[in-house]
Amino acid sequence: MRLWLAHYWLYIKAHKEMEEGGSQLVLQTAPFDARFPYTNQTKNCWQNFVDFHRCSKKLGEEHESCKYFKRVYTSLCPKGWVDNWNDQVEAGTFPGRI
Amino acid sequence: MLNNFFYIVNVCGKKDIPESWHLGFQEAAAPVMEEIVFFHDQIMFLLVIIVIVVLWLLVEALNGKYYDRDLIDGTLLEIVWTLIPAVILVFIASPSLKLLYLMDEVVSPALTIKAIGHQWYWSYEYSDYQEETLEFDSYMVPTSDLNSGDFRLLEVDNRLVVPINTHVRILVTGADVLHSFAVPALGIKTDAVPGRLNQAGIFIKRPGTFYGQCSEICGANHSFMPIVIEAVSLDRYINWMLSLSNE
Ligand SMILES: [Cu+2]
Repeated sequence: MRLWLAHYWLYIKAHKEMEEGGSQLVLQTAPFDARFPYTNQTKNCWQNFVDFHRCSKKLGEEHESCKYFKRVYTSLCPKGWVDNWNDQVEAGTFPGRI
Repeated sequence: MLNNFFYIVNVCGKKDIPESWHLGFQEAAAPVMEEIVFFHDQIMFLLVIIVIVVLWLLVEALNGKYYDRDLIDGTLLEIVWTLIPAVILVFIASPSLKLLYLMDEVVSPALTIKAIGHQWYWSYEYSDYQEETLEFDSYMVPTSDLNSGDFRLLEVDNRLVVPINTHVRILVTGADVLHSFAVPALGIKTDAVPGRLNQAGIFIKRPGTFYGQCSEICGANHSFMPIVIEAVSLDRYINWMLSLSNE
């Protein structure tokens, strides 16, 4: 327990230092998702990709909540998968329900 | 005298690379690896006691002095030699399970890195920053191209740069066949399965260069696709990232 607390402290300290330094880069990634708590994250990537397309169909790609889905799936999915799926969406052969 | 001592420490000591006749662990650079080392030491303690007791009982039995030919059964004896191993097993199983669940934990990460196994090299992707995904391949440096001081069969052309004191999520997948992403000093070994994303969390505690190798037989050059992680401070990581995205 003490070990883990010490690590949190180091983590917070490192991030404070970065913020004070006025960094141009925001350290931010897909947060923990309680639907996918296990080692296997395949469905996490897939679900966010599908959600993005459903969202942009309804609200438009530029909507703030759609941007969130896009950020998450770009963080999680390998680029090769996304390129592949995008081609399928364009060709109308994407297997997911959008 | 002191010199001698340091020599011995150097030879037996744990380092960040594998070396010939290396029997122990490499020096832990992540809390999970520290826990693994503690667990190993704890089991070794029990193991040494058991080995000594069993050997002593064997020697005594073969010696033939202590026997009782009227002894047919002994309820108390049987209860004792059942309960003691059971208790020892509990002492091994409970920290083992604790460690297992600790290793599964990915504490809210600040950064996601994707490692993709290919025949026969690794490629890495950083795509947290909205612009272009930063991706590059990491090939082994052939022996003929090594500089002096390099480690044979372990160096790569493009290292994976990871910030220290930061929770990092590593997502591992394969592009062709099964591979396995393993770095002993960080206590990670994750299968790279095509069509599946496996998650591992790392938290590096000190700057350094950590070496690992593909750990799932994946074909002819399986032995020649090492992993090199360069752990740097967060500032340096950010500078590296900015310099690459400005190019
Ligand atoms: Cu491999």
